[in-house]
Amino acid sequence: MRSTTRSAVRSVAAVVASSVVMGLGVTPASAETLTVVGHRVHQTTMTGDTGGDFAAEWANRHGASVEWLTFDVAGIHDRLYREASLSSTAVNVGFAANLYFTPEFDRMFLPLNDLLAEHPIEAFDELPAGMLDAMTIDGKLYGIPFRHATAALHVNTAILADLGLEVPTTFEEVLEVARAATHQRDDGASVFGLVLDERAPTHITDIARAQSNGDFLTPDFDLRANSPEMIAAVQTVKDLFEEGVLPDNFLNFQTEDAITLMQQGRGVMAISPFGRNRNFNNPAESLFAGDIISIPVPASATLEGFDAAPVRTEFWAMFIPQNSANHELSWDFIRNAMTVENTIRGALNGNGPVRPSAYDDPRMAELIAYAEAEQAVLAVARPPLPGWRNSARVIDIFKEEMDLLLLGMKTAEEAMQSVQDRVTPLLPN
Amino acid sequence: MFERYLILGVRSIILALAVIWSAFPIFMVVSSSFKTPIDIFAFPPKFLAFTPTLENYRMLFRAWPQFVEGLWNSLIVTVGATVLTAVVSLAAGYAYSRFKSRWLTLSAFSMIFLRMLPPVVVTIPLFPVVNQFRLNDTHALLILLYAAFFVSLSTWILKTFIDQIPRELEEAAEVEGATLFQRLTRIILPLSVHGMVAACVFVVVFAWNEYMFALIFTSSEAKTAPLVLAEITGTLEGVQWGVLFAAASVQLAPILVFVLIVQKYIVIGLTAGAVKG
Repeated sequence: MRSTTRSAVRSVAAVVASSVVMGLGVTPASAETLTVVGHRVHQTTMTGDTGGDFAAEWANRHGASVEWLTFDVAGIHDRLYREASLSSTAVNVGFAANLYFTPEFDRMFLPLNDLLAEHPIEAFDELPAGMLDAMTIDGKLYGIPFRHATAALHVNTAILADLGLEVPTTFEEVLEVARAATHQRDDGASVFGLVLDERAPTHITDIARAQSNGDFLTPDFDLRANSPEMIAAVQTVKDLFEEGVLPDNFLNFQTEDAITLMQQGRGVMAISPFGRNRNFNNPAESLFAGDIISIPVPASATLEGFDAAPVRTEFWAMFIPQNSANHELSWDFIRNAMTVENTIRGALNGNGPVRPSAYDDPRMAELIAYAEAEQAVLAVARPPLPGWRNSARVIDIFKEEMDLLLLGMKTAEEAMQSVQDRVTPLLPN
Repeated sequence: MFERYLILGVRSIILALAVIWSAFPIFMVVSSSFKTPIDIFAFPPKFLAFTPTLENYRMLFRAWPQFVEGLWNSLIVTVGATVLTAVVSLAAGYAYSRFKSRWLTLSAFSMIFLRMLPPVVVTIPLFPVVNQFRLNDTHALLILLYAAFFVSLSTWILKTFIDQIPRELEEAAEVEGATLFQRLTRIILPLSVHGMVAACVFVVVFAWNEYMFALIFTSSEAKTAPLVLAEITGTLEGVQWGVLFAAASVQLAPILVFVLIVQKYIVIGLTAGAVKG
């Protein structure tokens, strides 16, 4: 009986082992492979058709290959942090969004100052100081900004013309036109005068800045949720929602909804990143292709010193994990991506270029109708929130209070005071 | 008579509602995969009155070659995990059915206890270990993980089946000189095949659709189709809904066909042991 049991165990073990072995056979990355963690958008902007594949050109020059590990936004940061916290990682370069940049980065990622001093990035001084500051801890630079998304006002000129309305030039006019353009179509569909991507503080801050250059939270963590500027901004949103100017499902609204509404002509104006212009005017998807223009969000007539409102700009930067190998090669990859020429080529591939001079290139003007407008806004735009450990929780708290306000369960003052009280303990000391 | 028709009518209505409730989302996904992007969100909605197009599928296979690789990886992982689970569960189910001891009982209940833990509790601490053994981004790792999470359920299903197989059959075979392995493969396996299939259905459906383990433990070589689906939701052009629906339909089709083919085994597997006779 013992021998039969042994033979059974051997047989089962053999089958199990062969099942497992069937899945093996993955070749580990070679020493010349540079592994990059990012979004497919990042890959596309470095390897696209219009501007060309400058990542492959770099790889050919170095006899290396670039392996892209692409994930959705949450997946990128999850993977990057986890890899960077191990004793060693095969990830050489990672992308992270500004909101995800926390003080803990100094333990996981390489300070770039020495590499920058030894092998400078071309025309480095041109990179926006605000973005670089946001990537700096105790004087050490950890990330090189690569891609930005800056808010614009997108206007469906065809609908405005039908309704006999003009493109607004001040924020007060934006609200007036939004109210006037809200109507019901002949087919019964509701048309909303204004569309916001969502009710997060990142987006509501756009209203506060357009009206009075207000802020929810400053880069030095001065919380201003209960300031008159923020209260006025959320009251504006509440009024627009009650009047039906904002979509009736605004409490559960996402970027994809905003795109769809604009493409279907059910949104007349939208405050959304400039890059959305492509979606709104895509003939394959939009009923109003060619009719939707993208302009700076106009500042309030009472806001002195601004033509374009100082709206939000959010950006992605490149980082090198401390525990990765071959830092010089990684840095060279970043330098290559950041040359003046490759910044323009990336923009032609669909990137939001962080170099203001890229917008002066004739190729940009020819291909991107809103290039000049975006350049103007980039000069005054700033990140909506600083990144820190609790930023995601704070966004959730803000949304909760906005919901209570929009549902009529709190006033603007009560909701923002509650945000102030709940967020204060979550701020860094 | 009237009462009988009334009951029949009510039953039919409830059944129809249940079918609509279940099938409508699938219908929307599949039908939208054949619509132009403009028609997908048209108002009023175009449920049937649209000109079908294959453009979304063309775009999917042209612009997202990694989706095909993802499907292939999903297939390897699903088959591997299913085979592994089946083999281990058969052996374990046999042991729990035929042998009695305190330790066996303890281990049987330990398996159930481990199954109750949320997968994420086990997953995150595994990451550095897996990395240390260089198992990251391998099919083998996903096969092991998926199998590990379903061995307990499958073992209990198979134990129930094996309990119903008369011991006399095995004893007769043993008298004829059959080894344990021969008894397992020539008597137990054929007679418990319904339970085996029922157990495998759970593994197949789980492994084919699983997202979280694949997200954490794969990068490129073993990246499965659900991860590529998640990526399709965010591109430079925003969400390409048509392509996304086409990908979802392709992802859905094999599993739908598989479940339809083996559905009777699911019922048998789930009701095994419910009535002792």
